[in-house]
Amino acid sequence: MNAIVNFLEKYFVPFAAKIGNQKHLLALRDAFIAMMPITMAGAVAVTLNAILRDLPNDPNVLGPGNFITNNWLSQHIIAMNGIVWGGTLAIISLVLAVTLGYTIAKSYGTNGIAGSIIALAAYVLGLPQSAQTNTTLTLDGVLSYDAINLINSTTATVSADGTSISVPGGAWGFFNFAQFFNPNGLFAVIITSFISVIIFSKLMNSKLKIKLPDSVPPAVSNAFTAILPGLIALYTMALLYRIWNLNVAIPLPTWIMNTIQTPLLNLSQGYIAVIVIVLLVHLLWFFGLHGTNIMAAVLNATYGIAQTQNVEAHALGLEPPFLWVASSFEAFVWPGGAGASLVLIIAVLVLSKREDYKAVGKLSLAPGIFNINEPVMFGLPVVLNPLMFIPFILAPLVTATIAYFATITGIVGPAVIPVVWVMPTILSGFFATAFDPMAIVLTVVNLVVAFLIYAPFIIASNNIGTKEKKSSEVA
Amino acid sequence: MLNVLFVCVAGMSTSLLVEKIKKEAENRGIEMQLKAVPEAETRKGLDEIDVLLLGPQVRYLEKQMQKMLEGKETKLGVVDMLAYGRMDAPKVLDQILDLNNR
Repeated sequence: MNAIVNFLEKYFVPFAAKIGNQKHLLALRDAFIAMMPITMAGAVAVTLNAILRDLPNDPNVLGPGNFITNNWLSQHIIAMNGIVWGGTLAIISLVLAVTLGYTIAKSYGTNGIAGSIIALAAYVLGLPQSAQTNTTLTLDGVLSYDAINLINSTTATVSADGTSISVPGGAWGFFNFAQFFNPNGLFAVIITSFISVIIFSKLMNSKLKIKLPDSVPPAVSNAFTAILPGLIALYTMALLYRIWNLNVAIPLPTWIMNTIQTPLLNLSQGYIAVIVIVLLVHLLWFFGLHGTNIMAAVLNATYGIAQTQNVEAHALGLEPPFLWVASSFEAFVWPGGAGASLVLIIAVLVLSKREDYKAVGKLSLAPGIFNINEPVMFGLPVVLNPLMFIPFILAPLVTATIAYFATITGIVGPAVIPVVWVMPTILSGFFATAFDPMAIVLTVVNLVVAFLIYAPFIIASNNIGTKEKKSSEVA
Repeated sequence: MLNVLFVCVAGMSTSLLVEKIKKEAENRGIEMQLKAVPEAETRKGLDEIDVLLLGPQVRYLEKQMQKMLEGKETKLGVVDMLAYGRMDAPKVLDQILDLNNR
């Protein structure tokens, strides 16, 4: 046991610390955090719609035409939720460009607002600007042979059975926001923002900028010094897009989505991927390092984006594309924070005979209910405590396994509503799955299983504690 | 007036400890200003801070903070793990005063 701990302390922890300090990953993480006001507004809209419309409309609850959905107030709130959606989840990729541009520029010590607008421009300038439309008219009856021939001689076509006409159309001057501004564009934004803002920042930090006399006010001279680096950053992007468009038929953002984002997110859906994440988070926590925070950039770019896509699909009434997303971890794998530590606190309160354990248990209970686990992690301590190593790593691996297969087999619905991380257990799974009662059952099962894993170790610690006491009394 | 900044991930767990330390400082008659902030916010500026304490769960940030504090008077430390977990305010306050006197 000690050999494993020493090995990890020597090789794994410094590596993790490096990742936790990597400035590009920090910028990415902070950009996701900075989007909070927008993502939370979108989350509130989706949650309200779930409470006012989706849940009551469920035939198993009240069914269509119910009084909760069909009243004056609800109808207006539902309509406003739609408006809020249009400025939040529907354009989340643009929001990320703005926050990421800022955090990247800041990490290079350059102007944040300049970084924001350059990242925004760098993404939008490559988007296709024409819209293709395909209108299909369904007919009441069947058209005559002459009418079909006449219509087929235009750009429109009549279906083989003659009951519908499809009219292709197109116009310049539109961005397809359902394709490029919603979560589908997030990966493309990450890539274009990093390229453009790094170019900008490196040039800003080099000598290549317009110098103005000291008598010019700083606000004015700041704007001027950013001109040349900004110009070069955007023209580099334009060159990239130009070469791309000449050689590849698919627009770059669409290609990034199809070739990088979707396969990567699909990879994240595998059992092994979920288990590896759970294991890494808990190994870090065992060494007293905030695992989810260190891995936040990676988690946000995978399970976070998958979750945003789920929320977006749910808001539009579509089937969620992913089964395992960010909230799945928080709701089902680690209730009370990493290590399912709320269960550990309860096990200590119920089973421990040691005064010091009980005191920490009492102190940790209230924060633990809100998923704040530092008191028990550092106070018991769990951190670097050889006795706690096995249950602390094992419990979340088992709860993850149960939750994963319950979700994959469809026993529990996937998470489609983002939940704040301080939401107490049981409630958090219930909310995240848009009020699936099976989510409560799954959470309770996981709490019980985690308790059974912790229990023998807490009982064992009673003996260790009393022995230590005895030996100290003798001494 | 002693100006102390606490840094953890979301500023949540540390804010529990901060309240206790404030009381302890009051009892001892020490005039100090204490604030708990999420780590991302510390990059906005660290002027006028006498002591900056990292929660043990973000101790991997120590090097980065050291760089940021270069040339400043601010003292940097990581809160003792057990004292943090057990919300041992007197002990953490001792640590703050100790750092400040260094």
